[in-house]
Order: sequence, then C-alpha cells, then structure tokens
Amino acid sequence: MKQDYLKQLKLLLDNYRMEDKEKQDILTDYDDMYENYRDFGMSETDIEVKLGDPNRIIHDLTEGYAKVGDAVELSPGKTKAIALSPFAALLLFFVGGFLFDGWTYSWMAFLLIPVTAITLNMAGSDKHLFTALSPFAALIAFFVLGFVFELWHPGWLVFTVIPFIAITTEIKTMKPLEYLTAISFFLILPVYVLYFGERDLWIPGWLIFLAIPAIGALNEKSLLKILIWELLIVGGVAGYLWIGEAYDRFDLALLAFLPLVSYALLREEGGIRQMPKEYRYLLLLSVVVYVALGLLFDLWGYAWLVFLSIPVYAIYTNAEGSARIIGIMPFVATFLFMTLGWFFDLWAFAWMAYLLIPVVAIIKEA
Amino acid sequence: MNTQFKKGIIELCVMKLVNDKDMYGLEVIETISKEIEVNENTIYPILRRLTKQGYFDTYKEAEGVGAPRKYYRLTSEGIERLDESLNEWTQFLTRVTRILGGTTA
Repeated sequence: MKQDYLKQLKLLLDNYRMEDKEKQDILTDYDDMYENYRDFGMSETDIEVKLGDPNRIIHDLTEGYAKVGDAVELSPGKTKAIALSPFAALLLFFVGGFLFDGWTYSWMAFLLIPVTAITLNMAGSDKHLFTALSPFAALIAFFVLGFVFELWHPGWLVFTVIPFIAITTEIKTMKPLEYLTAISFFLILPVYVLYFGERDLWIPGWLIFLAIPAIGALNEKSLLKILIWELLIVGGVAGYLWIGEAYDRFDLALLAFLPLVSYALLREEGGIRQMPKEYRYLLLLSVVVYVALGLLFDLWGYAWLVFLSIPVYAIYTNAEGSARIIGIMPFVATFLFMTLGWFFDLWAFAWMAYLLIPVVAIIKEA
Repeated sequence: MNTQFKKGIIELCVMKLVNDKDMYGLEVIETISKEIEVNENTIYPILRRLTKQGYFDTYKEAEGVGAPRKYYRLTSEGIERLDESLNEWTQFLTRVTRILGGTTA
C-alpha cells in the first residue's frame, strides 16, 4: 500500500518540471510521514486519508512549478530568434545549394528551425535538452555518413545514441547496475554489427546479446537466483555452440536454451504464472506462430516480430486515445522497418518508418 | 485569510518553533495545529523550502522501535533570517494595530 501510494505520487510529480532531487525529497518526506503515522498505530487506510489523495495534494506540492509540456514563457530575444530561424534556414539552404551545389545536403539547414526552438525552450530549465536534440544530431550524422561516405549501413547505428542519451539523463534515479542493464543493448548492438557483422558472424555472434540478461540477472536480490540465471545462460551458450558446431545446425542448437526459457517463464516472480490469462495465451500463440514460421519458411530472423503483439496488446488495452496510438507507433515502425528491409532489401530507406513515431506524436499532441 | 499571507505567517511560526527546539515534521504540525489549522501538505513544503534555502539542516534520529525521524535544526543563516522576520512582523503588527485604532503591545 505504501509503495503504491508513493508510486502514484511519483507519477504525478513526474508531470512537473521539477529537479529530481526535489521530487526525491518530497517522496522521502511522505515515506517518513507514512512510517511515523504507522508508529503511532494508524492503519494504512487511515494514513492515506490523513496524508491525502495524491491527485488532490499534488497541487500544493507543485505550486510554482510548470507542467511538462506546458509552454514556457520566453524572453523577447528568444522569441525573436525562434521566429527568425526559418528565414536563416532558408538562407542557408539557398547558399548551400546555389553557391556550393550542395542541394543534397543543404536541406538539412531546415533542421535549424526545430533545433533552435527546442534549445531556446529547454536550455537551462529542462535536463532532457540533449535527449530532445539527439534525434537531430543523429539524423545529420546519419546523412553525412550515408551521402558522403556511402555508409548507410552501419551508419544507422548512430540512432542508438538517442535512447542512450535518454537513459543517461536519468542516471541519477538509477542504481549503477540498473543503468548498466538499461544501456547494455545500445552498447552491445554496435559491437554486434561492427565486429561480428563485419566478419559475417551474425550467427553465432548474436549470443553477445545474452550479456543483457546476464547483467540484468545481477539485479536479483538472491544469490541463488543470480547463480541459476548465470548458469543457465552460460550453459545455454555452451550447448548452442556445441550443437551448432558439431552438427552444423544452429537452428536446432537453439534447443540448448530451453532450460533458460523454461526457467524465465516458470519462475515464481515475474514468470508466466503471474501473467494475466490473456497474456499467457498470447505468449503461447506467439511462440507457436514464431516456431511455425521459422520451421516452414525459415523466417527465424523476421518472425520474432510476432512477439511484439504482446506489448502492443498491453498498450491497446491499457491506454486510450492519443496515448494508445503514440505508444503503438514504435512497434508499427519496427514492423515496417523489418518488412521493407527483410523482404525488399530496402534497409537504406526502411529506417524512415521510424519517422512515423515523432510525426504521429506531433499530430496527435498538437 | 489570504493564502499567501497565511503561508508567510506559518513559515515564521515554523522557524520560531524549530529555533526553540529541534523538531521532526509531524511534531511541527502537531504543535502548530493546536492554534492554527494546518496539515502535512502545508508544513512539509515549507520545511523543504527552508532546508533548500539553507535556513534548516536535518539529521535523522532513531526513536525506540519506530522508524528514524528526520529532525530539523535552524542554521546560523536561519537564525539571522528569523530575527529579521520577527522584527518585520513586530513592526508590521504595530503599524496595523495603530491603523485599526487599537493599542500597541
């Protein structure tokens, strides 16, 4: 009950432009009050009545703070700079085009418009400034790598900098191990593509991704559970390599991970038994479809998309209106990206599917 | 009473109480609420703000078997600020009483 109360309060506080330390201080105070009232012999229900419904008290706690997403009142100088940025962009576009014959690149000058607006709105008041600017930096880097050096692949890897910066911005709210777990995918992906991919070792190079659950398992509180996870991962890797090399059947070698998958699904905390019924069926159906598509059409590398149906279903049933569409869009983009790349070999352009995410968000939130 | 005005007065009361004796949050609420209607959501923001402004510092102290309590203590800046505020308050009260035709204490 206390955790639920504090969690709800934190969610509400997250809607305001407030420093993390300030939020933490408020939560610590409410935690202390909760405990103090408990010491006085009050029941949890009475304590929560006494402290007040988070939805009601949030106004007192955030007095003087702007809401996230609210327009910030800008100085006249900043407003002028934002208003002038389209003209500056247009000028740069023509200068780049006419004087340097750089029409291919000079359109990027138009990125100056959102970059100026974001920088002047957020600099000094919002720690997410670099996260907000990172898509533009990544896009420019991607086009430079692509147009100038013909490095569309693996140039797309620069986009991993976006979630990396977003997670790193929240580093103060995470324990070191949680942070490492969160960023591990974005550290491993470049290694996989640049090292294993370049040597055409996609298989069994993908095993490197198992470092993610191996690191994640270290977050477990019980030493026994950590040992079980690590042993199953290492055992699975060893079995996979052995079967794959000995019989030259890396598809069948996946069976070596059966104990790991079984443990992940059947464990008490977070396992399939704690899942609501519809999620169990959906997971089972996804596994069946994945295996069927893999065995019948050798679509192992593509058919994993079927598992995205689980988070999509979760978003569909838990969110409403704009939040639902915005939440589902990354999965739609991934589906389009993989489909265009896998079946039509359009990897160089397929990434554009991800532009759907900000476009839909802007349209829906406008 | 105007909310901001009331908050200003309560802030002064909080500082005065903590100056007299180190107190934990609920103790401050309990003491003030004997005279003025206040609750957690009025007092704790004041305690946090005064701590952030450097007028209070805090320390934890275990109380019997219960959870440790966070005590507030006035810093030297806090004592200076309290003196200034008390002077301003006394002068203000004197002038208001004069205007309203009463007698000053």
